[in-house]
Amino acid sequence: MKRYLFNIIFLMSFIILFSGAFMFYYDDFAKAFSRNALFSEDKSFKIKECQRWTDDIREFNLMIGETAEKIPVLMYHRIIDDSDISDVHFNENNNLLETVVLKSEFEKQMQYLHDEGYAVLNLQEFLSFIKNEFEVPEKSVLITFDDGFKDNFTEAYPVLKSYGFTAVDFIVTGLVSEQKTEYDPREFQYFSLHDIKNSCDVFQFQTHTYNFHQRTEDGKAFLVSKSKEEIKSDLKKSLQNLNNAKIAIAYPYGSYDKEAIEAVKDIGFNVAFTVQGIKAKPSKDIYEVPRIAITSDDSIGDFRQKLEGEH
Amino acid sequence: MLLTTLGIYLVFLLFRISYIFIPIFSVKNKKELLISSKEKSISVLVPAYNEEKIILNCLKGIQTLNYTNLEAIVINDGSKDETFNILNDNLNLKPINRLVRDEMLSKSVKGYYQSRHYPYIFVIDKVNGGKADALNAGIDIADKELIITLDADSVLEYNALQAMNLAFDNKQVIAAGGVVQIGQGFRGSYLKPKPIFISKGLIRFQIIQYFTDFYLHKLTQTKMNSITVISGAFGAFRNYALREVGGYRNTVGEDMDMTLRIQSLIKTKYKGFKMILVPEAICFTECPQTFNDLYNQRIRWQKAFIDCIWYYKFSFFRKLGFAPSLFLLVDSLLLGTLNAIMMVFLPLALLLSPQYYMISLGLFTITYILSCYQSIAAIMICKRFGVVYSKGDYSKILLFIPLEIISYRLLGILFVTVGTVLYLKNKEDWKVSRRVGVSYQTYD
Repeated sequence: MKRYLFNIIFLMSFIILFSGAFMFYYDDFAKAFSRNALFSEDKSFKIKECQRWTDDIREFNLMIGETAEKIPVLMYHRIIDDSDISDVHFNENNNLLETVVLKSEFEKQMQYLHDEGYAVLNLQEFLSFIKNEFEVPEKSVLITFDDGFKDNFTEAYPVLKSYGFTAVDFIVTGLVSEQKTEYDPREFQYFSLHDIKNSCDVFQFQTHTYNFHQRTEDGKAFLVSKSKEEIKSDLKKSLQNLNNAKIAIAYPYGSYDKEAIEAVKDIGFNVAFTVQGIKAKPSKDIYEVPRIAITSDDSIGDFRQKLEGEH
Repeated sequence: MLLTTLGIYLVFLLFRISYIFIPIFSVKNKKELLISSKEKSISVLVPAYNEEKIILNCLKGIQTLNYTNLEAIVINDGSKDETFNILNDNLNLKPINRLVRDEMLSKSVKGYYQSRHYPYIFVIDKVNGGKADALNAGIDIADKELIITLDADSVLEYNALQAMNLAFDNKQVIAAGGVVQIGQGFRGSYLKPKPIFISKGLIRFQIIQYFTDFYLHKLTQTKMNSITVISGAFGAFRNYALREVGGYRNTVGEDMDMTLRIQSLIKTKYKGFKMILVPEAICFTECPQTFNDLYNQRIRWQKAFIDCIWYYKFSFFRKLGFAPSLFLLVDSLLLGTLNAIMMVFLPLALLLSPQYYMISLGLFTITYILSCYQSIAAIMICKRFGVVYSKGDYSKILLFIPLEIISYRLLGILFVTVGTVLYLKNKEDWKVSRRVGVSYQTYD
């Protein structure tokens, strides 16, 4: 009798303690799992309201001879504060990863744009220019970011905002996390919903695919290896996340083929960006607009050269 | 990564919970020991290598046993100390000729002796060849129905062989393990040992660990027909079983190896036979007292374990039954060894991905609760088998358990990790742990 009583009490107390601990940590587990999961393909970021500014086109009132024939489209990936740089940001040759630009450098570059009186265009203005419907100042530039790293929010956003600049952020929408995240410069972290909502006055969010920023085992980019239908299905998911904001797309890795372009056209994108290191000029071929990558080893002189050089 | 970790953790939970609750709900309070109507004949083999300090204590245990139909065979495995002379002086040995089957190919035997004082005690004097070799020399002359292997540092409890004899009344039992208790945890007479909980922490930690290992793990494994180790300290086998598997293999984990050989024999020839733990059959052994001795012992165990796993790598599920294979690979290897190694790297991994702090803390909390319950269950099961502490000792135990889990028990991780690494680095370097030769119990 005593033994049965003990067994029952022993089991019950174990169940109570165990489930108590489980409930206590339940949220943390749920969080960790949703962090690993892709952003739901049927949900949207709900940023329509705060992206309204992206429809505006400014009047520049330019004289003949002051208009741009071609303009540089800058491409950034990550901006990391100098003090946050650690071993994970270096490649095997001990050089800073190309895609990482130091915040101090980024600040200098933005300062330069500001000092030189550059007009930082939004996507609508750029699109009108590239379609030859609109004239922009000779010193015009379009700033873009790829992938949607969290540091774009924590590091680049305040700098851009302080100069009143805007930029296009091509985000892999499936990688956006629903939960708020703690910034950790050592990790590959992407925008959280919170970050997107709190930076949509500066960033114009466009797609970098839903979850096709990947390569197959033999190294082919998904946009090249997957069928047209698969690409279109991925892009549709992404546009669902982005409230159907489908002006532009940047091809992951700058890789694409005929089929990929057809998919992009079918969906109805107006313009698509690649990476070619030359300036963009009005053209009929607006599904292969070149961009200039700004990399970790660019000095301010290199930056100037990329902006103002004849290429 | 996270998913894999949690998956493994879930398996860990499953095993741990069954180790706690299967014994709790199946073990009844001990009744008076039943005595079998007939004493089966038993040969007790005691391999001895440099055991001058303790061999007489072991023999004393055999001499006072509540059992008559037995012979004891001490195998002096080329000791470099006075072991043989002590045996000679105390037993008054005379050379004899015994029927030797010589099936086991052990190293050359120098002589067979019989005690004049105790005619049922025999001594084999042989060239050093290791424990397995010594046991094989013993098997060669053992002609009783059951063979019991006993470590020289272990002392049989008064009724231990009666309990074993009763267990083997069941024809399906082919081999059985006894319970090993830590001698330092008992005081008073061997005939009526009284458990105490006052020794140093390193010993108290081992006391709880042995309780857990035998009364929870091995008892549960018995229920699941998946015994993976019959401890070399105190194991019992049907004579024919040892012969049919060809005796012991010369390895440091010869006891685990033998257990697996018999599991394989069961699978291939003796379907329906089983190995069990006999919780009423008890021996007392002396456990290491210092960190260094404990370290050497556990490193040796771990090396032996990995060696065995490696040796049987192609036999799992094919030559060995499903249940023992599963327990060995999942519980012992995956959860025991790999988990421990992961625990060492976990803090490093955490430094790299701090977003999992809470997850780790959560898993730790659950593991902690589980460990407390496991230790309490072990003490309770012990009590049901008659190891009853005083009230004061129970409160000491209750205070000790929560601390032990986050102190001494972590040593296990160290031993398992280091042992595995050392094994992989150098397969030959074995150390023998030092005997202290202090007995806390008496025959007065």
